[in-house]
Parts: sequence; C-alpha cells; structure tokens
Amino acid sequence: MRILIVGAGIVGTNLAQELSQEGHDIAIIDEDPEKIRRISDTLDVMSVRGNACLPSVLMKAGIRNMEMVIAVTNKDEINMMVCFLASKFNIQKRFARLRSMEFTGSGQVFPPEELFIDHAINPGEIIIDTVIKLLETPGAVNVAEFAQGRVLLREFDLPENAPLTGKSIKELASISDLDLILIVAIVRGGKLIIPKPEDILQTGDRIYTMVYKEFLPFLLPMLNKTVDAVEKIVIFSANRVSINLAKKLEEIVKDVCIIEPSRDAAHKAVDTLRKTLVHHGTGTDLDLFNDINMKDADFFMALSDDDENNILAALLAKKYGAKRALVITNDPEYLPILDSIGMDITINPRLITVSAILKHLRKGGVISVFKLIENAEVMELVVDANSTIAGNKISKLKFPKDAIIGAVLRQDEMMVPDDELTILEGDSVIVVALSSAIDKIEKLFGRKRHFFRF
Amino acid sequence: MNILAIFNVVGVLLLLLSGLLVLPIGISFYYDYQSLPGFMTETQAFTLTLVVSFLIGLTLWKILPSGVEKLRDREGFAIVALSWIAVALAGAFPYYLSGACPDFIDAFFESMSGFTTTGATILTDIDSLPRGVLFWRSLTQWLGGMGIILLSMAIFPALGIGSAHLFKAEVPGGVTVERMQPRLAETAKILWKTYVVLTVFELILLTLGEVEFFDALCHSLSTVATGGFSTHNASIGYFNSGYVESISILFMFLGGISFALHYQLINGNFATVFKNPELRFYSTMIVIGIALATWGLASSRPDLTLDESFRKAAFNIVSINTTSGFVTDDFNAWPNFLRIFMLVIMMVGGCSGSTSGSLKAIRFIILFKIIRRELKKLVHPRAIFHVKVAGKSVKPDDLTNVVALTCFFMGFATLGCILLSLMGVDLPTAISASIACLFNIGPGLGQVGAMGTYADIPFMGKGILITFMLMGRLEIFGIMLLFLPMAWRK
Repeated sequence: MRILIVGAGIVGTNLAQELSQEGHDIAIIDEDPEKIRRISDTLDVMSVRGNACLPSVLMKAGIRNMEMVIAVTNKDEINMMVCFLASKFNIQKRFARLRSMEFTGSGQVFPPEELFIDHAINPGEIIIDTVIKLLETPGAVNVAEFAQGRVLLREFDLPENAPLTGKSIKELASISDLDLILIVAIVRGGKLIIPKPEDILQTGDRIYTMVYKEFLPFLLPMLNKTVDAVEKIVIFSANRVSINLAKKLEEIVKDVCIIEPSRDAAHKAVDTLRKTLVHHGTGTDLDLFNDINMKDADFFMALSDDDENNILAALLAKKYGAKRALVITNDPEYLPILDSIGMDITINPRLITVSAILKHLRKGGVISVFKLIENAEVMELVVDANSTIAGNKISKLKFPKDAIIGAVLRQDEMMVPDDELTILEGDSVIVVALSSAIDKIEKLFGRKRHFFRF
Repeated sequence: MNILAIFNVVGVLLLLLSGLLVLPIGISFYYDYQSLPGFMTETQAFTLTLVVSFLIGLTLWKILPSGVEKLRDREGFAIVALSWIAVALAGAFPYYLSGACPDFIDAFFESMSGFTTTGATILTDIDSLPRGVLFWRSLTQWLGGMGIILLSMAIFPALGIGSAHLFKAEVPGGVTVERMQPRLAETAKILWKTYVVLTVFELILLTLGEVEFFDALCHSLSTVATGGFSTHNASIGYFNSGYVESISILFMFLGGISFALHYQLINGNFATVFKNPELRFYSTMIVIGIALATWGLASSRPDLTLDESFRKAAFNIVSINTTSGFVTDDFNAWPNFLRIFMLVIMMVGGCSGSTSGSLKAIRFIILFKIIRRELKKLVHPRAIFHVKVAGKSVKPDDLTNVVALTCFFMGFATLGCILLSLMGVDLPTAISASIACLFNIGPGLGQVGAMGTYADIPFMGKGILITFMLMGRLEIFGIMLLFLPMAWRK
C-alpha cells in the first residue's frame, strides 16, 4: 500500500519505520528540515519538506497516487486540515491524531467521520482508559485486552498470603472457579517462564493471567487483591489529559489531588474540576508532599509532558510513601530503565498512538500484539484455512515448548485450550511466546508476523 | 467627566417621564376629584409637571451635545445616578402641587420611595387621596422596578442609549447579570416585555378575584415591581381575602426572581431555571422563613389558629424577603426573635436581575462560599480554590466587589442608624428605618412599622433616608462615585 504520513515526530518516524519494514511505500512530510534529513538518512522512505496544509506540498509528496493518509503532526488543526485536503484528493483512508477531547469519545460534538476523518486516534483518551482499567483491577500492574475487550490480560505480583501461592498449575486447573482463568506466564527473578503443569507458584512471582471478562471478580480474591482499594490519588501536572482523567476519577475515587507547578495552569484546572484539590507546587516539592500526606497516597501518577520531571517526581513520591507510581514518558528510550528503578506502571503515549494506528491497519492475521517483557510477547492470531493448525486437535499440534496457547475464541466464546480442543478456521487464538518460539508460531499459523511494540 | 453629555441623557429621561405622565392625567381626568383647599386639582398638577419636565427635557436634549458613543464607566454611573435624581424630583411635583404632600421634602420622599420600589410612605391617610395620585404612586414603582434607563433603552434604541455602562449601572446585581441577546436594546426589550406580561397576568387574576379594576391595576403595578405601595391604609390586609393574598404572594415571589430566568422559563429551558443556585437559595430561604414565622406566631399568639399563623407568616415573610413591603399584619407586634429575623431577611432580598432591592441572594451565596474557601485554605494552605457558582468560577475582582458592597451596605446602615438616633428617633425605629430604606423594603419596626409611616421622622432624617433609598436601588457605588474627586478630574 502507498501511505503518506504527515508529521515526522516520534509517532510519524516510528510508523514510517514499521510500515516501511512491512513492505509499504511511505512518503513523509514535515516542516523541520532537520527531521526530514534524519529520516531520509535512516529510512527507505520519500521525505518532503513543507507545510502539509498546502495542496502543492501534498502533490509533491505524490498524494494523487496514495491510498492512505496518516496525519500525526502535533497540531490537531493541521491534522484535520490534511485529512480534509486528502478527501478532496479522493484518498479513501484518512487517519488523524486528535488530542482535543472535543472530537473523540464522550465529549464529541461531531463524529470524526463528519470531519473527513475515517479514524481519529486520541492518545490522551487511550491513556485515560488504561488508567481507569488499572484502577478497576486492584493490584494489576499491567493491562491489555484482546478480542475487543472480552479477554483481559492482567499482570499481578503474587503476595505472600495469597491463596494461589504454593499451588502448582495442575492443582489450579482442577479448581472449578478458575475454569476460564489461565496463568500464561510467570516472571521469576527477571526471567519469563512459560508455565508447565508441574510448576509451583511462589511468593514474589509476577504472573500474567488471561481471564474472560466476567471471571475477573473470581480471580481477585485468589490473589488476595481486594483489600487495597484505591482511595487517594495524587496526579502530577495539570494538562489536558490529567484534567480529563481527574474529571473521571472524581466520580470513582474519594480523594483526588493534582500538583501543578504553573499558577495559571493550576487556576485553569480548578475552573473545570469539581472536587479535585489542586495544589500549586513542583513535582519535587517535598514540603508539599508532606502537606498532602503522600504517605496515604495509593497511587501517584506523573502525567506531565516532561519525562525527566515525571520520573523524578514519581521516584520521590514513592520514597515518601506513595504505594504505587505510574509514569508517562514520551521518549521510548527511557522505557528499559523504568522498571528497574521501581516504576510500577509506565505508559508511552507515542507508542500507544503507533500501536493504535497499526492495529487499524491490519486486516486478519495478527490482530494485536502486546509486549510482556524484553523477550516475550502476546499475540492474537486468526486461524487461516490453509494454515497447518486449522482442523487439528491441540494435542496433535507440534506446539513449541516455549510458547503457550492462552485462549481460543470461537464466535465470541472463550474456550479453555485443553488437549482435546480442535482448532477451526476463523478461531482467534491468543498465544504467549518467548522470542525463540516466535518463528515456529508463525510457521504454524502460516503467515508472517507483524510485530510492534506497545 | 463629560458633564454635557451626561445632562443630554438626563434630558432624554425627562422627556420619557413627561410622556409617561399622560397616563395619570387620563386617570385623574376620568375620576375627576375635587381639589384640596388652596391647591390645584390633580389633573392640573400632572399637566403642569408634564409641560415643565417636557420643556426642560427637550432643552437639555436639543442644546447639549450627545456623547453616548464615547461614554466611560464613570459617566455611565453618573448618568444613571443623575437621571434617577432628576426623575424622582420631577415625579415629586404632582404630590406637592396637588396638596397630597404639602411639604416638598415629603413629596420628594414619596416620589423617591416610589421610583426605588422601597414602599416607605409619609402619607397617613392613603384611602382619602385622589386616584390619579394613587395611580402615580404605583406607576412610579412599576417604572423603577425594571428601571427607567432600561425602559428608555427599550423604547429609544435609536438614541444610542444602549450602552453597556448604563446597563451595568442600573440593573440590580450588576456583576452577575448576563446579557441575553447580542444587542443591549434587545435585552432591554425582552426584560420589559416579560415584565409587562407578568403585570398583565396579575391584573387579570386580581380582577377575576372581584377586586375593583383600579385597585387591581395599582396593586399589579406595585407587586411585580416588589414595590409595596398600596391604595389602602391597611395595605393588602384591606381586602382580607385569601385569594388576593395568594396572588400577591405568587407575583411578589416572581418579581423577586431574575427576569433573565423568566425569559428562560418562557423559552422552555426548565433545567437551567431549576438548577439556578440563586433561585434555589432564594426559595429555600423563603420556605425556612415561613416555617419559622408560622411556628413563632402559633406559639406566641394563642388567639391564632395554625392556619391563620401560616397565612400571616407566608404573606409577610414573602413580602419582606422580596423587599416589597406589603403587609397583612402588624409584624411590629410579633415576638422579638421574629422582628429581628425580619430585619435579617430584609438584608438578603431576592435574586440579581429581579425587581427586588437589597443585597440579593447571589451575593450571600458568594459570601458564604468565600468564608468556606477561607476555611478550606486553613486545611490546605498550598491548594488553589475558586469560588464557584453553578460550576463557574467567579472572577477575583467580582469577589472583591461583593465583599466591598456588603461592607458598604452594612456601613451605611450603621451610619444611618447613628444619625437618626442623634436626631432623637428611638432605637428600633432608627435601626429599622435606616435598613428598610437602604435595602429598599419600606416598612420597618417601631414608629415606621407595618402600620406606621415615616411622617414623624425629622426633616434631616427624611433627607438621609431619601439618599439611602437611591443608594440602595443603584447599589451604592454609582452614588459614591459622584462624590469621588478622582472621577471629576480632567
């Protein structure tokens, strides 16, 4: 497919890289000559410098032959304008990133389609959804969803006194309550293990569970995770995302407060929020931490646009007794170190946007991919008629040892992948695999894997 | 200060007044009362006033240059203040010339009390007065209720009086009133239309209740204006009719609600109206007031049944709370705690943008919220709190304005009380007269109680109270400005 990307920021560059590697023809437009130079140096894409709101610039980038336009500049207005112009050039597929909450989700006045946008991606909204989901699953440190949200992947730390501790996987399978709950991976001592029936769960393990949505309430008591309901949340920085998040949190959490270094921004936040307390101060102001009783905070969320400040504030907050910390970093380079310095949850809005766009680009095959830790990932794959796996029982499959079938979805029903189950064409299968097994999985499913990081 | 332009507008207002004087001339011509010995007939008095104010108005308007386009806030305030003084002065002449008030200070008091919708009177025998004068009293209240400047905006938009400065200076509760239409003239028209519709409704309902047409007309005019002038000594008590009382309660209550809200209601925006925090505060206050007064009356007056107590309580509380000043019972004779309570609710009043006087409910809501904010600040010294009304932050400047105005009102009430006492007025009378005039209520306690009059207040005292009534109607700042040297400097 020929794709035009407008905006060569982190999102645009990452998209260009992924899509070009997958064999698409990419042209990219940006106003910054430096960015254009760097892209043409590193990627095999066509790069054009200029203002994408001008038809002449779009034509220079070959818009007449394009099949798709993705507008990801940092201005909503430009992205909308590009999509509008693209519709005049008869481009059928038009994606845009819109950060304003007025065009997507519950706050929208017009649906994006009316504004010549096929699909609008709002990273802020995805962040808010993710945070709310995390709060709905007390104790979870990572969340992902498959099969349009019907199958949940949740990551938990296994506490000492949890009923599950000390049980083997085989024992767990026989507990009837846990029918549709599967432990698909265990992280022990920094290494990921694909659990075998005889493995025993230990205190301090991190477990990844696949659970059908309705069964989540049965899982939580098994992990002893009901007690630490979130009552107090401290948010660092008042920007569009955090204000909208606070607006939703106000309804479900008793005590929400925001720390904002700029007085003007703080006043603006007070204007729109109802119950949330807005404090004026920096994210590293220890006096203020004392004032707001950071000891009692169940959650510290560093949501400012400044990565370094977010990390520092979250570190200090944890030091001062905040139970858990969530950090937003825009620069993907920080991701590898964040886990090691004790950040419980990290969110990268740029990569969220990339994944969201890629998810919509793919038809069939791999529906979505979620990266667990460095060397393992979760994939949702659709079984193809001519693949080797179709029509076979699971026990007959030569399934690699370092991979596991997490769940099988057939016409919206989740099935437990025991040995007797026959996999049919059209099923969607969720697989957890170590990187060494990924090639074999791809062969089984008979198609090339498209991978992207989350 | 552009004095010539100011007097040009005052001229327009006098012209407007002379036009309106045609109405009482019609009434007095129709009823044709005998003149009092040594005075002209009321028809002659009205006609003379009409001619003189027409000539003065025309001269001012024609000769002086118009400068409305270049008005500043200070001229706006000055225009409104001086126009009100001029109109009240002109309006005093019919009383004076016809002999209804032989002393000019009394005539001026009556006229100012009318235009400011106070309802305080120096007349001792109202029933015996010619009907033209009675109609004029009610008409002045009706005109003052919605505002004469606003009326001239609605009638003569071409004169360019549609200035935001004037609007701000005259509409009660200035800072909190919102514009309903892009053009002020249109806003003024909507307000006046709503006002006329309400008045006509009351007139119809009263006439259906077999009240004589003339009485119904006068009471409609002064009820919707929350004024309080009646055509009888015993006020609404004269009719001794539950029906008339309930209609009056209804329309006093409506008059105390913002006319912008009435407009919303007419347009079917019920949600906006019922969520309005000021309306809720105002209604709650009235309900609590009635309950308290019913209980107080029932427990202290064994001669009254619970029904009668409720009837008296409901009417008088609504009348005082909306700053009307009609009475059906001498609340001066009520138990002491209720008398004090009456004084307190006098100071609250109705909603901003209504015809009621006083400080207005919205200012009390804001004051309470300021207090709450101060307390919250003690708990979280570094947090930022806004005072919000209906989910919207009130600007810091507006907060200061509310606090300053409240202090001004309290300060002047105290000053008036001291000055009146100095002139030998007894304490309950001094306190209540100064509050009842400054907050535009009318009847107070003691001598000036529900069944008394202001006739026995000393000459100087009447002068002070006249100033107070004007100050209260224009919410003090506009009048204070006239005495500020800074405003007059070139």
